[in-house]
Amino acid sequence: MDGANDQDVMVEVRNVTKAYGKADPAIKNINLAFEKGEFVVLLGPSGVGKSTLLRCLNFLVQPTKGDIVIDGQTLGALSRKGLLAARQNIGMIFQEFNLVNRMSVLMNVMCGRLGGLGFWRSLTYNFTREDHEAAVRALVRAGLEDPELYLRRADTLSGGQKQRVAIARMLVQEPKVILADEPIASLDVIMRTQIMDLIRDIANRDGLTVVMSLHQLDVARKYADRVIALARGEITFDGPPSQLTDVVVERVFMKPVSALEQELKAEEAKAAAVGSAADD
Amino acid sequence: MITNAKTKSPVDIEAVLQASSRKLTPLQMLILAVVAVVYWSAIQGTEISLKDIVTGMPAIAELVGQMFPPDWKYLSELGSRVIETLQIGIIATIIASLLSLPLAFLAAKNVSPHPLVYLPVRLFLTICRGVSELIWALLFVVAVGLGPFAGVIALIIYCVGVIGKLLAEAVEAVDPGPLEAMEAAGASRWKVFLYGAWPQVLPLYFSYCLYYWDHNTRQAVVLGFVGAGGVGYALFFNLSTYYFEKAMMAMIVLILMIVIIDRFCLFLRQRII
Amino acid sequence: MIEVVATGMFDVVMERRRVSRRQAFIVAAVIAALGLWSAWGTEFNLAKLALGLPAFFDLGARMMPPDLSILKALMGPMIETLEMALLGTTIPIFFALPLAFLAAVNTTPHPVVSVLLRFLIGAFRTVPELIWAMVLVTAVGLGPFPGVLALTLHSIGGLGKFYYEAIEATDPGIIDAMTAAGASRFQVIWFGIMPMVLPVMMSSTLFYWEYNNRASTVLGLVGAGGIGLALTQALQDFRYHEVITCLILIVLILVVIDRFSAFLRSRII
Repeated sequence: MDGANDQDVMVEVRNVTKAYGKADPAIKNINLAFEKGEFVVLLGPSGVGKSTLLRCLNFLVQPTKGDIVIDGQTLGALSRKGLLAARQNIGMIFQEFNLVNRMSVLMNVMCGRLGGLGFWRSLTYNFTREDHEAAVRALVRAGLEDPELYLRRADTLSGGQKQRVAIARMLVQEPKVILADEPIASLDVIMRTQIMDLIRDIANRDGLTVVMSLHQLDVARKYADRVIALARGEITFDGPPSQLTDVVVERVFMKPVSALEQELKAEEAKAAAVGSAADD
Repeated sequence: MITNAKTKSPVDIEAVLQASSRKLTPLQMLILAVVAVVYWSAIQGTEISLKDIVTGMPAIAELVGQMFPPDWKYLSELGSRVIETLQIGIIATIIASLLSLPLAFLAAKNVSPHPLVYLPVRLFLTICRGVSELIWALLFVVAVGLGPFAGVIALIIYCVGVIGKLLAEAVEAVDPGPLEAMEAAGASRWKVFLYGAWPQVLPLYFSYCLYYWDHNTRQAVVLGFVGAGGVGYALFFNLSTYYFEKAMMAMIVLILMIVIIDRFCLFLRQRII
Repeated sequence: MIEVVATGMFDVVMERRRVSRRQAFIVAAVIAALGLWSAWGTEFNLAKLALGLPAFFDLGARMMPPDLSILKALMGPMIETLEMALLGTTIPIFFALPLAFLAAVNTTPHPVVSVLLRFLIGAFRTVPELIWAMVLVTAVGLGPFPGVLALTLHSIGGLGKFYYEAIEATDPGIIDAMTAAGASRFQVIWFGIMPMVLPVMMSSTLFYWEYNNRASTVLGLVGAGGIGLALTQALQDFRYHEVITCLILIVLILVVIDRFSAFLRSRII
């Protein structure tokens, strides 16, 4: 905490604890502040509370204790309506893309604007002309320039295309913060780079704060401005990727660096095999 | 002697045979005994006797004999009754399928606004389908008098209970990912249902509606027995007043109608899904 | 770049959307027209609803409180109802099973047999059990026995259809393999097909058991015994406190049976 001027702080996590039922808390007493335009990676193996922390940031998971401040708004103090409005400023993408398979690509993208859609229009699936325009612009920006795709059902797309649609859905929200939950874990290696580049470019251009959970060390090193590692629900590392020495990595992943690299290589090979099988 | 190919050790054939031949555990024997007693008492209680069937045969034969030839002239009078039965089935299915939508939304755990809403709605649906539509019809005939109206209401109540429950279960089984994504984008609960869950259950919903249209038309016939109009009433009336030729005619028309609807539903289902 | 794609694409998107919305509108209009026609024919309207629902709730109010003193007297008819359903589901198995094997296209001795038996099964299924019951009461007299027969006849049709559909859905490879190994038709059916279709058959039989329990509660209406008879008599004599007791009992028993059947089904699969 260097106490930088409050104007630049976009996301603030204050004493957040989340416990599911009587079990040990998934995250314990977390305090963090992310600046505008910062690219933050939550690093670590699965099951250390990354996902819980990420979902606390937009109150998809309600913290047991503590609060979140996004762009000056304290989420815990908001009414249900206010929370829904606040969420429109927070875009989110997921590991499994989370598209509605049976809807068209365009409809899926426009769902990002559901929060602002009126009652009757929502009831009759009647998005406005502006929503359509915004969706097409977002799709082009997310790298899907082939109009033939827009009216296809979402489940006819490849994994990389699906994640682009999900990114477009996030873009039509015109968010200030992007939350990304393992966005590249279900993609092959080439797609990974493309999607990561896309997210970084969007964030740079619009000055967005990105909070992303990852378990790929190399990707985190390449893209992050700041890496945060969790273990058993507590922060064990917080600093720029350059400080991620082998000693730190071993502490974070609880295994030697060589074993970790091997594991990641194997995973990449598997993803590549899956990817090429899907292309056939 | 048979030996294991890998270990070269002899295989105990006796053990294999013993394992494969079934031995009943005491619990299984107990269950079997209970089942046997239940069946035995059921046979006693319902006074089943082959003798009654045999002695009843001439009566059945006579009855069937009296039904032939069917009274073809009666056909012209049946037309309006058939239409009434069809109308009862259609209106009941349309209204029930519309009503079951919001109820299914409220009764599905994953999209329901609150457990305090979810539980009463579930209970309501259980009561609606708790008794068959015939009993509902009986009660409504007492409350509002004879006529198709009582039948329509009865069908609606039962059908809402069934479709509502089936739909709620389908909604609970949908892929939760899109729901989460929409909630994260700031959509309220009913929008999440409408855009995240609804497209996923739509084919199932259509097939339930078609199935229950078929079902409702059949039941509309039976509801005629308690005075709710339609072909069923014609059949009931003629059977109880010993106009067996007319009853036979009504039966033929009824079977034809049900078969046609059955085929039509099959056709629609193949078109949609 | 963005604008070019957007404008070129946009008209296509909007046009497609117009077309699909128009189609949806036409379908909705047809259904609405059918609904209005039916509402008119059945005199189903808001005015009647406004009158009818209060009358129904009034009836409900008059039923309160339930007369629990007759519970003991209801036990006999209730058990009779359950017995009818049990036998009405068990007996038809013995008829439906051979019929299904003769009717299924992959096990039938001759296509003509298949067509004829399917028609027969369809006819049994088409006639509602209540109509069977009425006819049978005329023939063999009042009591639970015609009820069992009625359920049996209807279930032969219902189970028969479920069974032959299950048989037709089996993997043809196994039949071929067994026939090639020299198995007789009976052996193919008994050792090849039965093990495959048994879980499906048991599950659909349980489904029919649930259905028959529900059906047997109303068979009393035409004099075929069970709790339906007690209910109808109570209703005819305006003993509303007893009617509600019957209703509560029926709902409870049916819920318990549904649960039990669901439990059994989960054990099978």
